[in-house]
Amino acid sequence: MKNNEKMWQGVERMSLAKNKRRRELARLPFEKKISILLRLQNVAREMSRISGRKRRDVWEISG
Amino acid sequence: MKKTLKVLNDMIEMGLIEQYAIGGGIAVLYYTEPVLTYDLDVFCLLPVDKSELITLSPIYEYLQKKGYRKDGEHIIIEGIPVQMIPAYNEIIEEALNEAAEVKYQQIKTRIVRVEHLLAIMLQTYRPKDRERILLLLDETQIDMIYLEDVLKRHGLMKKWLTFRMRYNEK
Repeated sequence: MKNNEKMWQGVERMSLAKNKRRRELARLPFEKKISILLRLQNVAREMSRISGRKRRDVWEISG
Repeated sequence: MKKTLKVLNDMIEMGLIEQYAIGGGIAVLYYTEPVLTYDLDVFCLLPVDKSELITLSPIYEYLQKKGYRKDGEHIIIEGIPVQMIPAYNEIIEEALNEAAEVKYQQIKTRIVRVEHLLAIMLQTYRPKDRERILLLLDETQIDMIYLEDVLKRHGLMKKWLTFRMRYNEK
């Protein structure tokens, strides 16, 4: 019982920390978010390549 | 993206479009944590020609002359697939008129207000729209009075209440 309680406390702490992180990310400048988007596109492309799914083109931009 | 925005701004100066505002995934990303998206949705007000037809042809002709290629419903402008969406209903027209002016690397651009973005997604209501509405509600400051006014004027209040009940949100 005690172990379960501890586990749930841990999950709750983790969930709160994740929410905090997401809100911090939401406050980033637009430019920074676009550079993160480019990284996300590249990660998604790589995952599609590995899993054999159709790959989407990533943005080819310099700034 | 800076170059893409410059091209859009040039089209206003040339009179090819009257006004534009960014919507869709990039507008969501502007207000929330970065989310994966692949295109830049641009709502635009087009000048009405003599025949009173609203057409994107002059825009595509101009862009293709500049060397930008079409790819399905997109046109690739400086490496970014852009979808030009003419204001097809009153809510989008209003969103365009009331969009916020912002800067991206010193380049002026316009992004639809978060309340309009939410209302448009409530109207289109695809699974990804519902997901994005929840994200906006969770991560953004929303002017609820302004939002409810928009929703009431565009007949979306019932849908909004159903959505809130379903997802038990704010």
